[in-house]
Formats: sequence, C-alpha cells, structure tokens
Amino acid sequence: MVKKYVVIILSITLLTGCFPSKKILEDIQLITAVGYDYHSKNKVKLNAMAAIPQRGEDVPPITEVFTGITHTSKMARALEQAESPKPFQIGRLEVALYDKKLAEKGIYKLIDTLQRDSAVGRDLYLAVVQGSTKTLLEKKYPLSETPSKYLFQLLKQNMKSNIPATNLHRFLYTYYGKGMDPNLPLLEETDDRIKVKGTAILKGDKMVGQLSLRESFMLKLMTESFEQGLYEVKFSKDRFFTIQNISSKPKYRFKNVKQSPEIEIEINIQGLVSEAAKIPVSKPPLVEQLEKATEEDMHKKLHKVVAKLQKWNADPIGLGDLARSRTRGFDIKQWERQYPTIPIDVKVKVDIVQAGITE
Amino acid sequence: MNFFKKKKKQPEPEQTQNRGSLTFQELMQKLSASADFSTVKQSSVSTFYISYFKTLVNPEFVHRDLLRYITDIPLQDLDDIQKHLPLDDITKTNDVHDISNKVTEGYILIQMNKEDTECLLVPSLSTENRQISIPETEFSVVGPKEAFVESLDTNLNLIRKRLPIPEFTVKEVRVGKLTKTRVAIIYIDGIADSENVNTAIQRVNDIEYDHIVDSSYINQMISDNGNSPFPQLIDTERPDRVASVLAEGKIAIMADGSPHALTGPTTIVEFFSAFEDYFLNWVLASTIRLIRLMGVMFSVLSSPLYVAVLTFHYEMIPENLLATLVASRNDIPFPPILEAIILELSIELLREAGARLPTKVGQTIGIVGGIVIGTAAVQAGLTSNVLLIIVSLAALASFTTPVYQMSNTIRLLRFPFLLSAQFLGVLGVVICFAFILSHLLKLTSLGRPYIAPLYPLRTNDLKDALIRMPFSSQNNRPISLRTSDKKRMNKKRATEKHDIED
Repeated sequence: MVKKYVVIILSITLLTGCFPSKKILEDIQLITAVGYDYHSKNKVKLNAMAAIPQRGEDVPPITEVFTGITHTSKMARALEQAESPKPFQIGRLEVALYDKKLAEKGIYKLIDTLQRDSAVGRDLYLAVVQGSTKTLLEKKYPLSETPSKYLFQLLKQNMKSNIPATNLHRFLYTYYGKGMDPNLPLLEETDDRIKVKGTAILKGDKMVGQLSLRESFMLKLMTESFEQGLYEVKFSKDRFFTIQNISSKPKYRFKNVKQSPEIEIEINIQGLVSEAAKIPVSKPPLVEQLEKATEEDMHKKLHKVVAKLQKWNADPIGLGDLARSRTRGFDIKQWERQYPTIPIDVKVKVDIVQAGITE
Repeated sequence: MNFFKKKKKQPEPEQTQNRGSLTFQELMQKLSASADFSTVKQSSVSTFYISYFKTLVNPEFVHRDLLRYITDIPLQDLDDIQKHLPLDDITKTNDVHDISNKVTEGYILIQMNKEDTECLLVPSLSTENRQISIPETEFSVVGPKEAFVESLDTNLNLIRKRLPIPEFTVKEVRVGKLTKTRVAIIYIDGIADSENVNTAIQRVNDIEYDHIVDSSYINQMISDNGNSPFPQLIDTERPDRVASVLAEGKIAIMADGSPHALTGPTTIVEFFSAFEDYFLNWVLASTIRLIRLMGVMFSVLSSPLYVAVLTFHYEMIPENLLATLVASRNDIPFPPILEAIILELSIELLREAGARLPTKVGQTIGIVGGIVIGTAAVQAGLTSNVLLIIVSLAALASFTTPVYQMSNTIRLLRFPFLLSAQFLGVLGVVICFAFILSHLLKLTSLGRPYIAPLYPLRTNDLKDALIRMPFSSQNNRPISLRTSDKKRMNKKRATEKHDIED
C-alpha cells in the first residue's frame, strides 16, 4: 500500500514534464497548401500558403504565402518561420503542388518529407502545375475564399468523374508497387481560375507525358469503376449526343503472360442519354445505333491513350501488377521489357438503359 | 517502514444496552423528565394511572376511545380494563425493555397503581402523515401519479395493493441505535432469489449507526462499494416502479420516514430507463432510451473532447468548422481547459443555486444565469460561443437521466475527463474511459454484476436494457437476477390473439 502511494506521489511530482506539447488551435499557423517550384539544380523554392482567419464572423480569411529557398523542404519551413508570428503546423495540409519542371526532374525526395510526417494525412491531394505554384497560390480567386480550399474542392469533385482519382496514399502505393506507375492531376492557372488541364503521367517519380482532360477520362475508364462521367459522341454530321454513365467497370484478361503476353481490357458502361438534340431516341433500333456509335468512338480514343502510355513506357493502369497477381512465377523484369510492345485490346460495351423524358 | 504501519486496534466493546437493565421505576423517572410526558391519575369510579407522551398520542383519542369506556366502570385489575376496551393489540407486560420501546413509540401505558411494574400497553399511534402526492423527481406524463410518503405503512399499502398475493413478503428490521428506524425488506417469495434476499437482510442487519433518517443513508451503508461515485441501488419514489421490479425478482428496501424505496440488485442500464418507457409503445420507448443514452455520452464527453481537440488535435476539426472555431477563440485570453472549467463550474453553480432555492426564485436564477451571464461572458470575450453551446447542451443532456443520483454522478464524471483531456488529449479521454470502465466491471450491486446484460453478456436480458422490446417478448425474468421462477408468462399464449369469430 505504502509503495503504491509513493509511486503515485513520485510520478505526480517528477513526471510533470512528460506531457505532449500543446498545440492550441489559435496559437498556431495552419498551412493548408504547399507548392514547390524549381529554383536551381539542387535547390527548390517552397511556397507555403496559410489562411489567416480574421476577426469577426463574416470576414473571409486572408491568405499569405511564405517562401523559402533551400535544399530540403523542412529547412525551407524553418526559413519561412522567420517571417511568421506563429509556429507553422502542417497537420491540415490539403494540397501539395509541384511545378512541371520539378515534376520532370523527379519529385520523390519532396514527397518523402510528407510521407515521413505523421501529422500529414494520407488523403492529401498532389498535383502538377503548369507554371509557377507561387503565383497560383498567391492569387485571389473569386470562386473560393482561399486558393487551398479552391484546389481541394476542385480536385475532389474532378476526381469523381473526370480524372483518375489519386492522393498521397495512391501515389505512394503506385510509386513503390511493382508493375505500376503514378499519375497526378495537371493544373493550370487561367486568368482568375484554376483549371484541371489533364493528367500528368509519371514513370517512377518523373513526369514523362501528359494527357488532355478527355484522354484523362479514358484513362479513368480503364483504371477504376466510377459513376457520373459525361461523354460526348458524334452521331452523324452535326448531330451529337451525350451519354451520362451510371456505372462503368473495367475487366482485365491476360493471355500467355510468361512468353508473349496479350491483354484485353473490357469496359462495361451503363449509361443514359442525357442530351440528344435532333435524335429521336425513343425508337429501339436507334438506341442500338447510339450504343454502337459510342462503342466505336470510345474504342478509337482508348486505343490512342493506350498507345501513348506504351510509348512513354508508363503503366498508370497497373497492368503489370494485375498480371503479377494472377500469374504464378511472374517475372517483372521480363514484363517491363515487353510492356511497350504488348498488344493491348480495349473493348467497350455500352448499355443505354434510359433515354430520358422525350415526349 | 514500521512508522507507516497501522496500529492494531482492539475491537471496541459493544455498547451495552443499559435500558434492559433499567428497573421500571427508573424508566418512569427518566420518562417523566420530559415535559411532554404526562401521567394522569383517574379516580372517578376506580383508580388507575394513564401515562403517555402528549406529543405522540392524540389527546382526543385518549378521551374518545379510551377513557370513555373505562372511567364509569368499577375495575379490579388490568384484565378488566383490557376486557372493556374496544381495541386490539393491547398487551399486558412487565418487561421494562418492551415498555420503554413502546411508550416512546406512542403507546399509552395504563397501571393500576403507580408502583406496579405490570401494565397495559394500548397502541395509539397517531403519526402525522403527508398526503400522497404526485411524483416530483420521477414525473411521468402518462401512468400512475402516486408517490411514496414518509410513512412506511402507507408506502407498504401502496405497493401491496398493486401485488395482492400472499407471496408478497415484508421483513422488518430495526436499525439505528437512537432512531430505531423501521426498515422493511420487501420481496416476492418464490420469485426473488433467496441469496439476494439474505444478502439484503444481512446487510441491513449489519448496519451500525446511531441515526438512520432516510433510505439514502441505508443506500450508502449497504452498497457494495461505498467509495464509488456510481449509485448501486436505484432510489425511486414511484410505488408502481417498485411493484414492477419486485415482479421482476428484485428486492426493495424501505425505511420509515423516507419517501424513497431502494431497489436492487440493479444494473447500470436500469439507471437510464425511465419508468415511463413502459407506458409507451416499445418503438417509441426504445428510441427515447437510445437518445437518452447518447445524451449521457454527449454530456460526459463533449467538453473534454472540445478541450482535447483544441489543445492537441487541430487535425480533427472539420474543414468548415475550422474558421468559425478560430474566429471565436481568437479573442479568448484563456487556454481551452480554463475556458471549459470556468463554464462548467458556472453551470454547476447555477444548478446548485437552482436546487437550493424555492422554485420560483430558482427559475429566475436559471434565466439570469443562462441568458445574462452567458451572453455577457461571450461578449466580454471570456468564453467562446462554441463552447457555451457545447456546455449548455451537455448540461441539458445530463438532465435527461431519469434517476437523480445517476445524473449527479454524470455531473461529477465530466471533470476527470476534462483534466485527462488537457493532459493527454483524446488519448487521455480514452485512458480515463478505460479507468471508469474497469471500475464499472468490478462493481457489484448486492453481489450481482453491475454492468450485467453487457458483461457478463446476457442476451436474454438485452431485451430490456439499451432498448425495450415489446411485452410479448419479455417472457423471461432477467437471468442476471437468478430468479427462482424464471418464466414471466407463457409466450405462446401471450402472443395469441383472441378475436371474436363470427
């Protein structure tokens, strides 16, 4: 009994310092977006954006960008700290941006610091920017309170239907995983907007090519199941219609992986015709024609995208990983050698389930 | 370490009851020392002496029901008197101990001569009774509106008329050296587990204290762990609730002079079930019970989580709330913990003030405190309005607990959680929760596990724990009570519907 009390009293008096350090909300500077710009061969320019809330209920926060130029990004933060009244915390980081030049040189060592920090969430969005990230973060956009919020919402909603979904976790998975390569959204600054330009295709941590927004949609069709995409098809001369997909799901088939592989990707799309001016969709044979037209159109475009990917020797779909997962004694080195020349066939099946209210 | 060792104490010699050794004369001397003890000599036809406490016996009763029958008749001895009195339960005795007990309770003592040690004891208990009124702490909109009063006999009557069966058993024990309070242990023979009954009787018998003025004394003295903030017996003022738990196989303990019955063995979930739950349809009752449980969790955890999140885990705050929180916290000079403690304490002050003041003034206090101080504190920049909302909602949620003692416990529980949230953030809250959970695991009520239907898991008892299933599925009595008669009814017959067929 006595020993118990002695232990309790001693721990109360001697261990008072052993508490975690406090980070009271209003006493810290929350960094919500960071941008990395190429500076020189070994140095990067780190731009950290902080939203500073203003007094009063309806006053929007002011955004400030702190800039530091160093070799490592943690040191840059220390330099930026010199200008800030409150200590920086990156626990609420939502978006990390890399300029295109930096992306072409390789961004792994910059992502590594985010990966190591336990405060950074794995659902952080990464993106490549065409142009300076500093100017993108410093600008004031009428569409949103702060650039970070704008970027966050922009990426979130585009990844639902337009471009392949990715975040820090996905990036690391595809970066470390064998037989797959990361891809990141490509952003561009236009007047007073930020625009998703397409997808940056990476090989390892280096950007090797870019897909346009339409091509990104094709890549999304091949990589994941999703809903609510929109696709426009030319039916005949000056007659266009739009298909809104309700669900799309890719299926992969591999043949003869060990010697000379062949891949078949089958994409099943269920969709509804959401816009079809000048086309009387209510007739059943016409619906079949529409389906056919869509299939052919998509087929063509998908093949173009696949050819591009093979040309860049990048595998954002993760075909190598999929092949490995269903082949015993899979040889990744052989696969990587063969990848650019593997015949990849993409089949599309479109099923129009609804044509909307027409009468 | 010898210095710290407790000195072995010799057990105190039990105080001898010196009243037993008293002689009759000494007793009479002692009694007449009180101003309200009167001895009247009657000598119209034959002489006899009547002694009683004027304050215990109604003088009207003495004249109307006693003297009227015996003053005009020649009387030889006490047997004569007994014959002429139209009252039962008259005892003739010379046992000084018995005389002493009964006279101080309100019996009238009749002697032929002042020196006689033999006397008649006529019961004339006139106790001042409060009218049966509406339950106040356990008010329900539907259902019976009777509440216990201070008289044990009235209270027993209220229960017995709800259970008119011979198995309804009342064991009476006198407790308290000075007050000699009548304590009744009530159970239904053949349903209640005899082990539980024996435990209850033994615990009550073992009470060693000079005065017992309320059943809450007994509650604290017989509870399994007297240091626990959790009440281990349910304290109720509703006779219908007592009748219902007796039918379940529980035991009730009532003390004379207390308008509350204690029922046990109980489990923690029972503290969150209002008796009104049984008056409503089971879907409604279950929903309300779940809301109440969530209210309890909210009331205990909301302000500690606020402190934890604002002090340590800024990452956890939802994006849209962040700006609001920072804006409201910007002007506050205190860290979140101080802010929370100030507000919690002021709410406790308001509650305490409201409870100690007469109803009408109490309401005013609530308005002054809630509106005036609350708004002023926010405007003066002492607290953030977000916390003000959280704390007042938490207070509101804690009022939903139907058992008053439990809502007090919940009031108290918040503070260790607040402090641990300040030390270690959410981890601290978790650690504190683990401590409380393990304490609850160890706790027993009359020797039965306290968190019974949850651990040890009794799936059958879950039908009336966090939710209340319909009566037709409540065909078994709670397993954790180990009742002698396990079946409440025949399920098959209960679910049959007998409609008139044509």
